[in-house]
Amino acid sequence: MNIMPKGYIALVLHAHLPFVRHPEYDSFLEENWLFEAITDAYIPIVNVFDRLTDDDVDFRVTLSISPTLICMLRDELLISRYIKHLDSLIKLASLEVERTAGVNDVNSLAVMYHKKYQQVRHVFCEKYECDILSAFKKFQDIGKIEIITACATHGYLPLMDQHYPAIRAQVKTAVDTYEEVFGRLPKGIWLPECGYHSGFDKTLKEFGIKYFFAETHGVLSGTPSPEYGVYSPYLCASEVAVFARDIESSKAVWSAQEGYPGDYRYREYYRDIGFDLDYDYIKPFINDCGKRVNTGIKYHKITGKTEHKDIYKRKEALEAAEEHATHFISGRIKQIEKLSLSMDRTPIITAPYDAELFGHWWFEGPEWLEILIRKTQLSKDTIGMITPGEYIERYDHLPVSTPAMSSWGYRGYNEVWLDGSNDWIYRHLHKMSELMIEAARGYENPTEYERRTLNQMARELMLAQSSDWAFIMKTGTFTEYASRRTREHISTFLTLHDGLCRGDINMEILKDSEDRHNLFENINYKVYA
Amino acid sequence: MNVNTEFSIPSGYGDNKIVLMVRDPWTLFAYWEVNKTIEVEAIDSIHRKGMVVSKTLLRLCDVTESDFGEEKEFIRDFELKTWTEDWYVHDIASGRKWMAAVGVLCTTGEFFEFVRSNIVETPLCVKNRFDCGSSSFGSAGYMSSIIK
Repeated sequence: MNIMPKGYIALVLHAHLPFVRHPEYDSFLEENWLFEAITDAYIPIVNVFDRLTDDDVDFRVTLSISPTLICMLRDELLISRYIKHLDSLIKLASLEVERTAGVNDVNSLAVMYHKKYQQVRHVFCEKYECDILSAFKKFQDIGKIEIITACATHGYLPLMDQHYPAIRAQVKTAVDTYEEVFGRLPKGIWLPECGYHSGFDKTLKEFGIKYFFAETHGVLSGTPSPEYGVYSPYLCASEVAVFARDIESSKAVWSAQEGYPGDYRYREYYRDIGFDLDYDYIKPFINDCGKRVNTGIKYHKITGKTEHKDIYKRKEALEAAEEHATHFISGRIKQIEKLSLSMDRTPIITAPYDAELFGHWWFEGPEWLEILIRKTQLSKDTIGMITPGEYIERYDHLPVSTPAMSSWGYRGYNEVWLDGSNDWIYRHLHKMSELMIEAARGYENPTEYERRTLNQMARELMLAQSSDWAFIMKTGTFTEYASRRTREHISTFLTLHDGLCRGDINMEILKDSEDRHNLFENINYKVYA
Repeated sequence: MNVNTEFSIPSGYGDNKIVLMVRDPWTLFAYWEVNKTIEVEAIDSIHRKGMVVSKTLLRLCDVTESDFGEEKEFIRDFELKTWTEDWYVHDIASGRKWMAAVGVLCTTGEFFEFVRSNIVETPLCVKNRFDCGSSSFGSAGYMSSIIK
């Protein structure tokens, strides 16, 4: 007999990276973002799901995978480059095992990395045949995870609302990409940066999406006032449900001061042998440009707020992960015990995190996740795991409230993506949307070249809209790349548009941009009409 | 690589428009482009009426009580220097509807619009600005975790 718990937790992992693919170079530094995420986060998360499944653990996790990430994970060039990257990493780890022989503490870590990378290669290449999405699909098909989508290129919708078709195109392209890969429609969507503005839910409804997530204060400021706070989903006017991020469970992980990942026993992210070791030794394993970069091999623990860092001790780090998982689950149980006394419906705690946090920045994150899920099973009468999709299917008659404009960015609105560092992009993005809509409406029966041009214009527009570029410009790291990418997509779009209007399409530019920005193979420019 | 020259993008599109955007409940951002022909014609027309242009302004109006932005409750003017094409307006009220215009103010006090913006609504925030938004944890963390 199924035990009905007093409340639920919905763990949500959001996996996203911007589309970075540079076939015009033999290797490209920013492609490492994907390679590091696969090695450090995605494969370890797959391993967690596999172990839980093998042990017959009844778990539920919601995983959003952005369409740009989906396209990169299916791209042959990036996959072949990833394997090359991984082989280089295995070689480096092997050298490290030799180099550190006799230094017991460090050598055991070198051995750990060597084993880890070999295991990652086995899982990626052999077990899942270079198709990591098939792993996630497998877990979805057996009912353990619910995969949802995000906007096509992670466009930040609240600053796009000058042109409704641009928002519609971000959502429809996302839904189409999802359906191609997972063979069904997504139940939910991750609105990039939790960016919501009144009325977006109507667009989601148009494409069959049942729910999305919003930031805590956006829901708490909703209309009418949300009677269950953030512990129930609400139906917006469109009848699409919104789930609010729970502050307490977010703070436990995200807070710079109190968050688990800052514990002194965990691995220090900022001490990497790519920077620590002799340049001539490390040079073959860093970028072709010769710039020192993180390799992923790190031997120190956080230690404390000091320059000196002690050697990482795996055993004590795993003890910390156990402690933190216990602390997290006991906190959620306390919340549910309290809420169940005052609520006349089953409370749900929505806890979303970036998937790349787990294993990449927070090295022990996957272990924390696994321990947490296993511990949840021990308190099934109090806390159950659920996906938002399951919750809204199980509990009808949801209360009604539509959230206010909000995001999960700094100070809760649009400030991160609209400030002095990045505001120059919007006059171009809006103009591109305007021209795209006009062109989509103007070409009912295009020639083959016109159709290809219009479709590529749509890709260039969406790529320029990625929230990542504005975010990077704001944070001040990799700004040159973000600025270059934005300018590149604007320039290519305008060149293609100009050729289209003049009836003189530059085939060289069209072919080149199709080759380099090859995402959304089946896009139809009519989505902008 | 030189990001400024590798991909050329226009400084303007020859449009006559102003776009108003909401940054947060208390801050708006406006960018605009005034078509030179329209500007010259408008100023000629002002001169023909015997009036003298005093300064170029960004005028922000509270149009909360108006359905079509016609009945404007005047709020604030900002004098614009040559080449200024965008502006942040700080310390406005949350939960109000706003419209902006770029134009010139004559010595008589009359304002002539070159271009008028869309209407936007700032979200209502009942707390003060430091309490109202999200806390600083979890802000766009995915890229932070990758690019740090």
